Amino acid sequence: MTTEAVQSRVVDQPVFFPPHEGTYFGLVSLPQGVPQSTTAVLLLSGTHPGSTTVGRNRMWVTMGRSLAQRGYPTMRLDYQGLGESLPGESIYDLDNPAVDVFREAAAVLRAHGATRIIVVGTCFGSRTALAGAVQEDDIAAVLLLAPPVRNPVKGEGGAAHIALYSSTGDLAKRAFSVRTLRQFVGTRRARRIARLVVINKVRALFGRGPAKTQKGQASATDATMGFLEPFRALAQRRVPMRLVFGDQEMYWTEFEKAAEGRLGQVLERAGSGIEVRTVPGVVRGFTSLRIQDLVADEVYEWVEEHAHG
Amino acid sequence: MDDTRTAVRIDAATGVREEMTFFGDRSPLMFCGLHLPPGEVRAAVISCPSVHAELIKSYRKDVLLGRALGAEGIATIRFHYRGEGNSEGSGLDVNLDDMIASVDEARAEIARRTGAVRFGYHGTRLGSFPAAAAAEADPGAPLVLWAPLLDTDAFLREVFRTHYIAALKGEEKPEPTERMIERVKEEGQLELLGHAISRDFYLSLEGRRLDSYRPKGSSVMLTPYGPQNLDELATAWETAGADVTVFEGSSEEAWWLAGDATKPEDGQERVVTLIESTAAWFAERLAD
Repeated sequence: MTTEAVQSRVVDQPVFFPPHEGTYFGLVSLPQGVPQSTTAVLLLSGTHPGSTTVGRNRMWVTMGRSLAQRGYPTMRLDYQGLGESLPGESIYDLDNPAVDVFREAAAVLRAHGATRIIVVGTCFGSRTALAGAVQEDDIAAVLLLAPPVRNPVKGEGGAAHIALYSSTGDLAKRAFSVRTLRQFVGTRRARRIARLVVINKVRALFGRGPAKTQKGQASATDATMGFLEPFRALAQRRVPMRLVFGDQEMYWTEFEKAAEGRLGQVLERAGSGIEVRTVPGVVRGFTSLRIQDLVADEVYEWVEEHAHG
Repeated sequence: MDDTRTAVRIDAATGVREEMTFFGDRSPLMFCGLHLPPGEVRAAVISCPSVHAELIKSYRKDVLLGRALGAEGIATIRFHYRGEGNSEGSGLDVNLDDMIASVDEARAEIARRTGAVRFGYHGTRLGSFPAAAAAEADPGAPLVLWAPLLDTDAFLREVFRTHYIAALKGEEKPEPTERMIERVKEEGQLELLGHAISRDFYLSLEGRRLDSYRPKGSSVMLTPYGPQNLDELATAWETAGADVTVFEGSSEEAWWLAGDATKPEDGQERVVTLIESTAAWFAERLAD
């Protein structure tokens, strides 16, 4: 279907919410000329400078309108301090999901007739999806796109991730490859990263870990409580959940490792109630049209599957 | 105005009415934000954003500028071009000439809503072209350009280079720029940094220079980003009869990379400086 044909069957309604305060801003895509479902969809982007209603290549705009064209009222929004919203949070991090905006956005969708809400969240939006969904009674299903299951500790970057998730043998192999040696000799940055990897690996081997464990975390690779607690609670309530990762991305490696610990117990008890899928490449950031299309297909399929209870 | 497609919020401190709505002479409609000061309004600014990742990256700054101008009693319309941002329409129909033409509709809309008779123009990156074109057609109108894009060919080279560097991290050897350009002309569409770029958009950008516009009699404020040198543009426009100020108060990294590290911009010193300076500059030149 052409974009123009989709547009003619969809209307976007801007909204400042909650009413009388207008702290946040959102756009609700509503079906026109097709029956409107009582299941609505809430799209929660990750955070980045500017605005979170548009997305790379207008991904959230297209997804919202396509879902509405299928009959599902769909909302995308600006977190506080971004886009059209009022000033607010000084910084967003995974330990501080936007539960307030979730609650208020869900209220907007209910005001449009929704009796069931399907939540789709990516990155920071996935943490907000989990933390928010736990507090509401009418969440029909949750889809998490590249959800981070642990919180990177401040200052921890790629070097610490490499040290955590690569075996000593792998590191040695990489260290002595021609490409690595050329880089090592060549640039100061490469030498600095290599030094950080070695330091972090040595710390990991001696049990001190490249990352400090956080409260409730059994090990540095365990899922953090900010992810695990709401995830477990939703699983216990039998809210269907799907997690989608790229098979080449850091978050997938972290998920696999975390699944060896307490996260794995939650997955096992939930059985078919939680699906985990991978697609080729990297989902986070939606950096290619191919990934955007794959993710959109996942979302449409998930919504159609769970729209009717 | 379709009330069902308009969101309204009143700023408690300034009384400025913020409206988010859709407008336009024709379908598909354009998304816009209006900042409408209370009382009589005689001046308005039309804010022209860039496109794709640059639109997203500058979005918050544009909102903050609209609010700051509203506090100065100046109305603002910020809008997304057809097929861009939250506007209706397909991204594959975006081209620079339509972007330039849409400024007339934005000006008509803010004039209709406020009765404003004097206008200023604000452009960011590629939005510098619509803003400069509008200022040229409105002699004496003040013009502010943030990180203006001087030469579209240089811009395209920079974007292709950034795409090539990003693609080097992948498994496959990246495609040379020359081949990508051939492909967009042959196939009608190309992917750059995860954005779909149409042949029309690419062709509409070829060979365009900002100094081909002559905002005669205008006061112009230019803010460079990073190492950008605006001396040549400033000289060309001064020679053409404009009064040009280059404001060095802000710097910005590459605009085509709307990354995911988030520190809300409202309190960042460089952003506050940019917004306050721009609003004050417009206020001085649009005051009665």
